[in-house]
Amino acid sequence: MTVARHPAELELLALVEGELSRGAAQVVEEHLGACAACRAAVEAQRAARALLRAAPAVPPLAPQEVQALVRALPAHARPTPWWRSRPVLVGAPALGLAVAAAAVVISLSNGTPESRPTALEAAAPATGAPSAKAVPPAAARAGYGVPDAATGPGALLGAVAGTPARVVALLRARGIVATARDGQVLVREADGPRARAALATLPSGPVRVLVR
Amino acid sequence: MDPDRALAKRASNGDLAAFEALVDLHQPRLTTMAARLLGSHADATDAVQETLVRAWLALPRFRGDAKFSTWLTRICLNAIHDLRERRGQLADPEAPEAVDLRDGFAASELAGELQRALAALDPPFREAVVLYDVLGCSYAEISELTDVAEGTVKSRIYRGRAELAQLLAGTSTAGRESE
Repeated sequence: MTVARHPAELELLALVEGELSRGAAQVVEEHLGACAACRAAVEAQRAARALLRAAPAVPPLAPQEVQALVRALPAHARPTPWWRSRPVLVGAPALGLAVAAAAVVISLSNGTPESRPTALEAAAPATGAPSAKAVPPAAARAGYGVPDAATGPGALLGAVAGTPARVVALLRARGIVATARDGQVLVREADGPRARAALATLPSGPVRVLVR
Repeated sequence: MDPDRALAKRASNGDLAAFEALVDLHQPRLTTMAARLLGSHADATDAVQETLVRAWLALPRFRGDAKFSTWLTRICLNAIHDLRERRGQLADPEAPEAVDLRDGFAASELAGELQRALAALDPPFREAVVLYDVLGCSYAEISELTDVAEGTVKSRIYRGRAELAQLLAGTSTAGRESE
């Protein structure tokens, strides 16, 4: 290999990954000795590789979050053996979950579910019942309290950390129309239950979110 | 042989304990992947929770053609894409960049230089380097997860790293001059 003929990108990648045969690696190494551009490219690969691999793992969901999530999974997704089938009394939270789950249409492509509602949307009760059982799993985090009642205009849906603009962005990202006004955040009455569920995933703070 | 096969089979028959065991095994990886791809621990948590709900609902249809971990990772990637799409559609241009409000570690780490550089990469490149270098997936797994040929996967890893190094160095040392 001459200086004029640079190794292909994939050859350089293979060199960095130690995937080249000894002979092929030697040829590329010889080229690197004479070509500053390729040497720099390989150094860049090695530097980025090392940084990415040294990046610390991100803290996972807390065990209690996982437990709360698993417990809140819609029961109807589980096949019930015929000998266990019998009329079941469902409370409001269970009904809410079942209704929400029914709305989650799973379409499979090679067995993989595609674009669907968020976990919040899937797990949140359709009625917005304030029961802790009906709140999405993330709400189970300690200290993420929301008021128990959310009714008409002026009702307090929650008070969370951050800035009004940030809270508006978070709510909008969940499809909830929100506006910041006078240091507070206002949402439509119809979005109240969903806003409550979203706020339940945030830590308490000074930004008040109200029904407008 | 898929090491999760037995648990996945039990879970697909409605065994919640088996599903919880699978979640315990895989959610740390998924959270790291989602946080690196989305740049926010809060968004990552949303994506992982959504992934788990979707996976549970789809489990009765899991055929075992792919490894359970690959199947779950793919569901998570879809959830991440959906979340990013919604963010794109609904983003408030005046709102600050999403940062984690709950976790000091993630807030500082995910606001760091590496994460900023990752966020600047095109999504396919970001996905390739995160899957390969952060998660340790093989070329074949990434090819299966992203529906592109292995050669494309390698090229994305190479270019993603090159761009990342360039962004981090603030120079063009990562690029090769053609002669």
